[in-house]
Amino acid sequence: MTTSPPLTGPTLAYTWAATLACALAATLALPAAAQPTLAQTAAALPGCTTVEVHNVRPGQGFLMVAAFADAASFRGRPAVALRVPAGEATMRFPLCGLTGDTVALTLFQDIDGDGKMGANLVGMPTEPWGSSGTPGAFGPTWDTGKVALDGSPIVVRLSQ
Amino acid sequence: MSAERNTVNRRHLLQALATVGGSLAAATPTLARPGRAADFDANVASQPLLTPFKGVSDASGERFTERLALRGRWPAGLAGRFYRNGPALYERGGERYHHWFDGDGMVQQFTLTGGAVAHRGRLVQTAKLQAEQRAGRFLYGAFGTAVDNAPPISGPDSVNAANTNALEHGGRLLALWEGGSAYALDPADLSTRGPVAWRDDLRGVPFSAHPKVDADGHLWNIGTAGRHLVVWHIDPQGRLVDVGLGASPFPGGMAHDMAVTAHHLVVPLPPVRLLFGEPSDGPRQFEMAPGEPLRILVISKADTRQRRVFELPAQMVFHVGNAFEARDGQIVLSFIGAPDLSFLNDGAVAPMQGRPGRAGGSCTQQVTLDLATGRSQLQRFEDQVEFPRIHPRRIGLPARWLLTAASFGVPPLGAPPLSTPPLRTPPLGTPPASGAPAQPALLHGLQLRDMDSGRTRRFDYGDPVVVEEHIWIPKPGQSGELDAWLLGTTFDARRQATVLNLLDAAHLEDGPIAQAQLPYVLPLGFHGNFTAA
Repeated sequence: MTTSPPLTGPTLAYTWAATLACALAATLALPAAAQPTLAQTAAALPGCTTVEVHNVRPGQGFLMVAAFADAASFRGRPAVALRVPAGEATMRFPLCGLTGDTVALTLFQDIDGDGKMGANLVGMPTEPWGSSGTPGAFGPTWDTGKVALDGSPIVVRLSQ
Repeated sequence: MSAERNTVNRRHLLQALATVGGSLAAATPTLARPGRAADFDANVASQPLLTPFKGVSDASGERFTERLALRGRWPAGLAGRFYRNGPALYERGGERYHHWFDGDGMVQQFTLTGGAVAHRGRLVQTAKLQAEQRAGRFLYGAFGTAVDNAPPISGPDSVNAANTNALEHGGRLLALWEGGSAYALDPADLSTRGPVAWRDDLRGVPFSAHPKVDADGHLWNIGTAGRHLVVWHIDPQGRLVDVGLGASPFPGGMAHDMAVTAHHLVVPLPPVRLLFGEPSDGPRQFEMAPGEPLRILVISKADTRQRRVFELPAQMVFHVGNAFEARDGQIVLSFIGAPDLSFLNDGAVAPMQGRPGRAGGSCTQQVTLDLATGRSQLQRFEDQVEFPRIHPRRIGLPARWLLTAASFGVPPLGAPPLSTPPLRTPPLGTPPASGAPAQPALLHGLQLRDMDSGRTRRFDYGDPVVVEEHIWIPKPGQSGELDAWLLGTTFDARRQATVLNLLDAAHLEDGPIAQAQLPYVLPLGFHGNFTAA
């Protein structure tokens, strides 16, 4: 809760979970060939960067990853999306197909495999989520999520 | 992406998570980064009353003493388990929380058997505590303390401190916190079983810290999550009967405690919100929302969508005493209210720095709510009290006696203490003197107020003693309201020990009839309950 914005204001009039859901839809629309295997490494793939995810609940469901290229698309369709089986507590995998010099990643761990980010009766998430950058406690924005696309790994901590 | 269930609106998320800051929600324009443990140690050396605010470590958060040293006569007929809960772990990696409410919860269990008293205490092994144990430092922000670079949280249970109340119900021991799930513990050894999910889609939905168990054993509770106010109904076997979801008349506001009557839930909603700001190393103040009243929300138990709101002059309310249905559709609610937030801003902050804090003159009040006319009538009594409790079999029914922890005739800090507590009782309806100075936050006596006549009966443990909440235990086979024992803990600064005290409600003025002294100091806690063997 260190960097949370005030409770009111136009910047809050969007749904970040919907963003993740869009990412999911985009993922499913991708041809299988567009999704690199985990055996591949970023270094071996031109145009790819490594994503490093911490706090994965090992072996439970899937990581649903969405990469956004700019602020305008952050609420919409991701540039690249991935669905990765959950592995160890810390996972590394390549993310390919990105262009430009900035990216923001959002992801959630679809533990129950239903393709949706779970929420309870009052709308609180019930599955782990995370973002690149410094999302704070309460969900990402483009500004908090954007990081340089410079070949260095993109680190995401999932919520606990 | 059109699935409504999957669409978490960020505004709602923020509001829903706005209660996660601690056991209470309040306005925080800024949050203060952790302080230094060494500063407390230096200050507390000259403040023997504040020793308990050192708190426990992971190691001293596990306590067991099979036979406590006893004084007086512990009745053979008094058998059962007395639980208390409160913030206990305040420091990690040399850093120290700012606010009393921040600490990780530790449940105390006093087992009374045939005149012997055993004590067991254990930190609730919450997800938060375990993550911070692994990290060796505070990872998450708390009610009054911000932590830089905090990881994203999945929901309130990521930061659930389980530090506010403990209640055995339906075979489970529940460690309760205001903003998240109840944590289930094993009554046998206080081991943590985990957060309670009453139903799959209710995981993480706030289950507040002051549920009420009515005469039939049914448990009623509320939960606040942003714009939502949740109503819980649990049967005597611990099964969910119903959960109601409705809009709060004061979205984002705190709702710490509630009362229950035969037909209604009665919920005070003080004009206090939790607002997030940028982290800061400087001082911060909790504030009451300007122009907003104290609301009393009345909810029908039969149909939780039916709600009425009464508006009273703005004041701060943590705790209710009781509520009951009176004649002609009236509801009578007793509660403890304070004119300002000085307890939140100083009373619960200064001791964490090893300094005496001040409270804002919280006093006994009683309001009559007329459901037919919508009118209300408020009485205030002149006293300095908190932690109200009534006879457990009178919950939701007319109760005459209100027990509170109290300060008597305490002058402003710096003035010499009175040697004899004044017993003058003002007439009913007398408001407290305006402009009265804030009082020291620590309480040292007990008060029984006759809510019919307004008269009080008192016992003063004395200035070197800090009094914690005391509860009522009906004497076996007796039904009179004062046919009860009063049981509660104190911290005795002379002995530098925590003491368990037993009093006879019919003879409060005589003080404890029995005591059990612990060989260590427990952190000062909040609330607890007794389960008869």
